[in-house]
Formats: sequence, C-alpha cells, structure tokens
Amino acid sequence: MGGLTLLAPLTLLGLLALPLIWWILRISPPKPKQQIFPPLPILRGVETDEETPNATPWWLLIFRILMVALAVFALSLPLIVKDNDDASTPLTLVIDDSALSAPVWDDLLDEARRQVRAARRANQDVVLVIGDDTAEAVPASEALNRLRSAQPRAVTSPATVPDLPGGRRTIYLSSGATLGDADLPDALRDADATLVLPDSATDVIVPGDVRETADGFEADWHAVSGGRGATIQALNGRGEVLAAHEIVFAPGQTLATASISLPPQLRSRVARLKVAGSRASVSTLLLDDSFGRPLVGVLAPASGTSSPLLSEDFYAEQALAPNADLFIGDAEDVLSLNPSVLVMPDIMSSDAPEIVDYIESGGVLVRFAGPQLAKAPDELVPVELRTGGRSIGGALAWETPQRLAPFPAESPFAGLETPADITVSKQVMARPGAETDARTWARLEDGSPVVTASVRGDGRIVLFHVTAGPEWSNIAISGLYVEMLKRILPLAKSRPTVTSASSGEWVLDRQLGPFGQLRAPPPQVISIDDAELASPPADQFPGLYRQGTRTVALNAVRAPETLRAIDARGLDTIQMSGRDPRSLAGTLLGLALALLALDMVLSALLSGKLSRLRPSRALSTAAVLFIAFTAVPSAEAQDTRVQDAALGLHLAYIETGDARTDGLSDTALISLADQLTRRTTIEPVGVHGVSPDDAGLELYPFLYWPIRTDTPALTEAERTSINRYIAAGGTLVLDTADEEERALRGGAPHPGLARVTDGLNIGRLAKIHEDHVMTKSFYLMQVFPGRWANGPVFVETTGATSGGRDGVSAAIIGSNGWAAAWARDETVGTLVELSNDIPRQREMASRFGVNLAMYTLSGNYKADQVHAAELVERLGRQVP
Amino acid sequence: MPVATDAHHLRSDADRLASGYPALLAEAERVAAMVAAGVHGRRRPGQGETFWQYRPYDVSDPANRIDWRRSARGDSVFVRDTEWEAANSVYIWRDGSAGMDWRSSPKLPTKRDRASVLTLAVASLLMRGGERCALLGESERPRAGRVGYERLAMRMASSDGALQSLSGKLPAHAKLLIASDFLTDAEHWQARLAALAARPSTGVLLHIIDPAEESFPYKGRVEIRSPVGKVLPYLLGRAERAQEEYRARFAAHCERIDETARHIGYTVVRHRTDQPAGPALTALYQAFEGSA
Repeated sequence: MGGLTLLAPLTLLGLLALPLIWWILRISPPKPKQQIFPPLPILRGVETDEETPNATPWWLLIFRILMVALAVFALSLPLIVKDNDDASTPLTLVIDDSALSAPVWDDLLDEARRQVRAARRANQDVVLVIGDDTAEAVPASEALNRLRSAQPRAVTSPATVPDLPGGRRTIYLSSGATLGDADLPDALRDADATLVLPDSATDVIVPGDVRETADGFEADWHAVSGGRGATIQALNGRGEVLAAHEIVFAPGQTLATASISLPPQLRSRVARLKVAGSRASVSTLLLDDSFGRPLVGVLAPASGTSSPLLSEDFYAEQALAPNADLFIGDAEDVLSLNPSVLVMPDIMSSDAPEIVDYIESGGVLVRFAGPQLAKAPDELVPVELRTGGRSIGGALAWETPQRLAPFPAESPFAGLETPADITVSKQVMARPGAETDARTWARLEDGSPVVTASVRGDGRIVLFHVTAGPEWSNIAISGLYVEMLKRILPLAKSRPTVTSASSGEWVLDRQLGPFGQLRAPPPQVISIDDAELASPPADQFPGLYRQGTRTVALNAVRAPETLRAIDARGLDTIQMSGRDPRSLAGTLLGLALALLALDMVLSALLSGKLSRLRPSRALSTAAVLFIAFTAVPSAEAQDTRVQDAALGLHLAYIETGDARTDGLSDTALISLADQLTRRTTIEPVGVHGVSPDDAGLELYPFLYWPIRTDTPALTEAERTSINRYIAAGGTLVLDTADEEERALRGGAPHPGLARVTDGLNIGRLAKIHEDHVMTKSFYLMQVFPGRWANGPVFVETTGATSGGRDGVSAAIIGSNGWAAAWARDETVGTLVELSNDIPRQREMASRFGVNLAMYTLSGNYKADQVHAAELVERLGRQVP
Repeated sequence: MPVATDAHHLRSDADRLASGYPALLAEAERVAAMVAAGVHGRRRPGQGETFWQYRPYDVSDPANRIDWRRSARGDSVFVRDTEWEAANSVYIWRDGSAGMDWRSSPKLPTKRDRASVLTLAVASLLMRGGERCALLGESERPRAGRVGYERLAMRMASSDGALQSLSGKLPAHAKLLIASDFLTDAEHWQARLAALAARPSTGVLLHIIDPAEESFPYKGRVEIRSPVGKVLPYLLGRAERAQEEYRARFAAHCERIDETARHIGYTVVRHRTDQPAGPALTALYQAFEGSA
C-alpha cells in the first residue's frame, strides 16, 4: 500500500469556502411551512417584520459541509500510488533490449511507461537507456515517445550498458533470463540498480535440439525455472499449425521434451517450431533443409533377386536408409506415394510420361548411369550425353582410373572431403559446352563431369555419370556416397532456383525478427562463411541463410542449454506490479453526488414534503431510488436485446469497457445507421453494444470492434462465441485506430490485435485489392478513410472466403479509426477532427460505411455485376 | 352513484338533527295574491278546507256553490266560504366556494358539510310543517312534501353553490336562508345582501366559522395560501406575531356582517364548526319563527 498523491493540490484552497457555506446555511431560513387559510384576504397586510431564526438542524449542517469538503477533495485528483518510491529522486531507466526480452516486451514497456509517467507527474527528466543508448536526461514526455517506438534487437547478445549518472534511482527492466555466462553490466552494479522482473508466468522458453524418431521427432525446450507448462506447435512454411504438443517443466527441471508424431509426408513440411502464444524469435526454432526425413522412392525390378549384392538398387538403398524413408517398387507403386526424391538406377531407366510429369511438378529425380543409358540416352538427362561410355584404366588403356576433383563452391557437395582412394573406372560422357559446365556438381580430376544436375519444370534431374552399384566406380561403396546423397535430399524441398553466387559464404536470405516473424533482410549483404556457421558469433542475425540452392537456418538461441536466470546478487529485485496508480477522483465525486441525492431527500423531509407520505411509502420511495441507482442490466434486458436484433436490423459494436471508446462507437454506428437510412434501402432500427460472449451475435451483419494496444486476449468462451459468429457468416471489423502510430511500430504486430485474433478462425489476409467488392458495393471508391485515410485495409483472400460465406471476408482489419469519422452527434455535430489526408474525407468515410454495410449484407452480389457489361455486350452481339 | 350516496348521508344527518323538533310553521306573510294554496289560514275567504263563513248568494256565484243544507233552514240562499289557506316558500343558498371546503383539523367537518347539514335540517323542519323549499337559483320551483325534500337533498349534494345563483329567480317577499362564511370577496357581500333584500325578501344569514379562522393558532414561518387559485401566497415570518391583529380584523369582519344584516332586516346566526349543530338549529328555528 502506498501513499496518496494529489495532482491538483491547489484545489484544496476551495476548502477555505467551507466557513462561508456554513454561514450561508446558518442565515438562510428553512423552507416555510405551507398552510391553506381561506381568510387570506383578511390576513393580507398584517406585518410581521421579524423572520424566524435558523432552524437548519446541526446534523444537516455537518452533513452538507462534509459533502462539499468531499467534492473539493475529489477535484484535487487524489491518486493512490502503489509503492513508496521516493519519487523525488530522478529516474534512470535501463531496458534490456536483447531478443530474450521479446517474449515479455509488452510487459516491459508497460512497466517502463508506468515509471516514466510517474516521473512526469513529478515533473522530472528521465535517463532512458534502451540497450546501448547513451545515458542522457530527456524530458519525461519525450521518453514516452521513445518508448513507443522501442523494439528489441534481433540477437540475444546482452547490451553493453553505458556508464550511468550517479545519484539517481536506477531501474533495470529485463526478462530475467540470460544465455551463457554473461554477467550483468558493471554499470548497473555501479549505479546500484533495482531489477524489475515480470512475473514468472511469462517465463522465457527457448528451443534446444531436435531429434528424429521412428514416427516423428522430438524437440528439447529449455526454461529458466521449472514448474510450468507450454504448448509447442509445429508450423509449415505458411504458418499453419501441423501439430501441437504439451510440454511440462517439472519443478526443478529446466528441460522438457516435446515428442511430436507426424507422418513422413507432413514431417517434411514442418518449417518451424514455436511456443504457442509467444511471439518471439527466441521461442522459435527455424528448421532448414537438413531437417526431416524425406520420402524417397527407389525404382527396382519387381522380381526379387537371390543375389542382392549384384543388384544396383541395393547400394542406393543402403546409402539412403540412414537419412530417408524408402519406398521400393516400380514406377506405378512409388509415384502414387508422391515421394520427394525418386531414385532411378540404370536398370529401371525410363522416360515414361508419369515420370516426366512427376519431375515437372516439383519432383527430384536422381538417376544413375549404366550400360542402358550409355547405349541409348533418353531425354531425362541434365546434359547431353555422348553415346557409349568411357572406360578409363582398363588393361589396354593408357589412362589410370580417375579420382574425384574437390567439389566446386557452388555445388551442393561443397565442403565434403574427396578421399584419395575413390576412383572412377567407367562413366558416360557429357558433351562439353558452357551449359554442361554450369550444370556440373562434381568432376573428375581431368575435368569430365561425374555428377550433373539441371532444372526441369518445377523439378530437378540429378545424374550420376556412374552406376548406382560398384560396377563402374567405388563411389558406391564409400562413405562419400552416403554424404552426397544426403546433400541431395534437402533439394527436394528447396526452391529450384539457380543462383550465381559462387563465394563460399552463406548470405542472409530471410531475417528472423525479434518477434519471430520472417522478413526481408537489411539492405546490406550479411553473410557468414562455412567455418563460422558451426559456431556463429552471438551478434550474427538469426534467419535463413542461403548458399546456392541450399538453405540453412541460424536460430536466435545458439546455446540453449546455457539459459539461466540473471545473477542479481547484491541488487534489489522486485516483481512488476502491473498496476497503474489508481485515481480516487471518480469514486469520490460519485460518492459526493450520492450524498447530494441523499441531501435532496433530507431537504424534502425537513420541509415536510415527504411527511405527507406514510412511512411505508417513504420506505418504498427510498427502495425505488436505491434500485434505480444500482440497477444492472439483467438477463431480461439481454433477452429483449436478442429479440430486438431478431426483429429488426441492428448494427453492433463490441464494448471495450472504456466509456469513451464505447460512446464513440455507439454514436458512430447511430450516425452510420442514419446515413444508411438516408442513402440506401438498408434501414437499421438501432445500435447495440455487445460483448464477445453474448448470445445472438449472428443476428448482426458485422461487429465493429475497436482494438487498443492494451486490449486483453479473449477468454475461451469469448473465442468460441466469436468463432461461432464467424462460422455463421459474420464479419468482424477490427479497427486499431492508430494509423499515426503504426509507422512507429516498425512493422511489429499490433499487440492488442495479435492477442484478440489469436485462435480466431480468420483465413489468410491480404491487402484489399483494387477490384474487391467493397470498392463498388454501393459507391465506387478506392480508399477507405476514417480519421486517417492512408492506413492499409486487410481482408481475407478470395480463397478463404469461398464456401458458405458468399465471398464475404470474416475480418476487415484497418487502422484508420472509422468510428471517429462516422460519429456525428445531433446537437454537437461532428465529434472528432479528421486528418484530412484526402478531400471530402468525412463524406468518403461515410461512403465507406455504406459500402461496408452493403458488403456484409449482400455478399458477392456486386461482384457478379462485374461481368454485367460483358454479358450485355454478348447479348447485343446475338440479337442481329 | 356517489351523488346519491352523498345525498343520502346528508339527508340522514339532517333528519336526525331535525327529529327532536316540533313542526315549524314559518309565519306566513299575507302578501302576494299569486302565492299558491297551502296550509296557512289567511283569515279571509278563499280556497281551503277549513270553514270560514256563510254568506248570501250573489248572482255571480255559480249555482253549485250554494250550501243547500244551510239554505233549507230559511228563505234566503247561502253560499259556504272556506278560509283561504296558503304555504310560504323558503329559498336556500349554501355557499359552495373553495374556501368553504376546508377544515383546520381532520377532526372537524368542513364548513361546507356543516352548512349543508344545518340548511337541510331547517328545510326538513319547514317542509314537515307544510312549507315549500327550493335551492336559490337551482331548483326550478319550490316543492313540498317528502318527495320534494328528497329532491332538495339530492340537489344540495350536487350543488356547487355558485355566487351567481344568488341573483337567481326569486319571487317577491320570499324567505331566504343564506349559509356562508362571507369570505369570498368580503367587501361585496354588503351590496349582494342589499340587492337581495330589495327584492323584497327577508331571511336569515347563517355565518359558518372554522375555529382556526377565529383563533389563528399558527406559529413560526408560515406561507399562507388561498384555497382559491391565482392568489399570491402570503409569507409570514413569525405567524404568532400576527395573531392579535388578525383576531381584531376577523372580529371586525363579523361586526360588518351583523351591521349589514341589521340594515336589511335579516337575522344572523353564527356557528363554529367545532360546536354541536343543535344550538345553531335552535337559533335558526327561532329566527324563522321570529321573523315576521
């Protein structure tokens, strides 16, 4: 419990008026007794010069003076401050902006704002250090602005805190977790900082190793402390959840393992693992090409053979088995499984149409040469071949069997050792040429290609110019064979692009942002070479690095087992309280008003107005007054609302609990309903404010939902209710109304929006395109302005809205603050100034409202009209 | 039928009050020739049942009026005359203004109720004696007998006693009973009564007073309101200070009524509603008996 602060202490001077009030109450006589008296004409003119002296009872006097004192006190804006911090000491605020803070970033910023606001109340400058900023005192309001745009860094390396000025109260905001043996910056210890940590429920969980198992894979996760649980989700490249698994950190345990079982086809599509509900790069594990056991089909003769060591496919099978799931059979059997790689030994050589189809639709064909191919090359080869093979080092030849040259840097095999004892004694020859050079992945020492590859359609053909077995070369019985095939397998998932990068470096292709989103890398080239990739420096950007056709993931957390709590020895540590100082002004003013109402009753009692009522009736009057004050909307009111909504069209908005926002939404929808009635045949009867878990939501065409940064996540019941609403064909209009701050967020997700939409069945979103139905459902328009006009508007893509939804998006998301532009009060006029980004913005905003209502009510009706002109033209052509 | 119920209550109250009295025969005036036949012997020949005289037959007499039994005793022919008998008409007016419908305490009857009871009691006595009564300005003609009395009671209950009724149709030399507090437009009452007396008429003024009107018991800060609308209320800072002067003024008001009545030859009967009605009825009885 803390002290009491007055924001406007000078208001207390109003208490000086109390003696005056006392004096006025003393001299003003009570209300006279009223008496009917027929002989009034006789009485009139009788003078009584003296007034009756005051008869105000002393208790009423005290009551009234107390009431005024209470009101004056309320107007001085008292605040209950949560702690006893010496607010007079200036504040230094240090925020740990490493990626480990990202899971609790909102909490950190909230706490930071709270502290800075406290400083603003005390009218002090603040030293705000985010990461390695310089320690410089700025006004509190400017510090608040900086907090708005603050972002964690992408890497987990701890920040180097500069020297902090002494003599100030220093607060260090951190997630409480750290990696490795990094100690707290010395500057903090010197400044004797106080550590403010989030409560342990929002602990940091980081991913560890991933191991493949027979029916799926296992993933290790590390936490700072035990005794908590989490849900691990496996997502594919498009962010769809493929599998989920609960993990529990037993008390005292910091390691938990999620075992996820997935069929091989799905397993190869897993692109990342993350902790459900957390949006942070440190809680995300990016998976690259090397992950997963691809499904490999091996073509083999149908009849089993008694001597497997002589069959070609046997060697390929043995080499692939450690790294892939194999299916062996003829083309018909294998292709029906849609393997990611198809292995074709020479004996099964075929250019059947289904194999060509398979390659052109994205498959990878790994082909081995042999007598058949040497005799009659078909078209499924990456390079043109000469007919007939080449024998090297026979009894009658000058040449000795050739060894392999080191692999070129752009080859997928780059980096593999070429043992000296591997020789090639026979091969098929490629015709030399520039094309052949570019397509060669491995050469003999004399330069002739031994592995070539080319892109065909969406797929790829890889040709080993030797046999799959040891007949032509001893590659097939070396460890290199296994490694080479392993390098080929991931190609089945990567995009078949040919890059010209020939350096041995890995270049950052997609960067993993601090909040776990993949985004374009910074403009300068960021690269890392092979040697460093094994143990990357801590400040290397996490993300997907690309070299040629291969991709490797560099995760944000590189040494997860070293995750531990910050060593805070010698420093004060407190938990975030998470509460703003409470203002007493509203409560006290309300109390004063209630006393005023009571005073009226008392006055009436004194002047005899109530004496005519019998006591029982006076009691019932008091009871009625009490009920009127404390009346709450009952279930009955709810029933009437649903009934009203069913009987006539109502617009609806979601009540946020913030009176200003709700009032604005209410006025806005009333104005919109008015505009609709004037302009269109939509004539809404009224406007309802609803909460997400109310019954009967499906009766409203759309729900206007103002989202703020502090909007809390939905409860399970609310989520179910909203999903039911979406399933019934409803549309959510989510308005963050923060267009001017959107740029400051720098592309980070809106925290309130992320919380609200989590778990809602909203399909894939895209920016509204220029011939979307909403651009023409009533008015023709291309911008959708509200208070601002520049904000983007997102709707579900057409694929997501097909089915029973009649093409209507389940969500319309924008930041333009539509309610502000719609709201028009009958007496006051417009309520909010607009930014006037475009001419006649308010009118255009109204038109958007009309279009929105038309769109949600009439679906794709207007979309059909797109072809009307064409249809009319065709009809006209038929007539003559 | 609330009206009938009111009338019923009023009448039974009045009957109970009047039952202890002998029939009151208002002294007849030997006036106007058009007064209809009644039970008062006029001590002159005329229509009636009581024998008055035999007189010698005149040629203008119709033959069927000859009393053959008396004529057979002698040679001359006689006609039998009866005494002319006539009833007096009493006109009643009971003030029904808003000020009358007031009482200072719930234990007292309103002035209007008390006035109605007293006037009906007098009417009951008069009609039992054969007189005929009517409400001034409201009954179409005076009636007698039980049925007439009931009709009078009925009309009284529904009467609003408007001032305009005072200038209603009134035969000359009628007798009047006026029951009021004489407070409505007090300064005009003298003129009104003078106009009534000039009809000519004689009668009784029943002055009804609520005890509070006489004593003015109020104290403290009082806002005095008139029962009639559109009269500004009068605020008294200390009502007890006004008591003495008010009492003097009220006494003067009563004195003025007495003086007016003396001028026009009316009798004043004064009655306070906190007193029993009996003495007032006695006074009224005597006043009607005495007014000749």
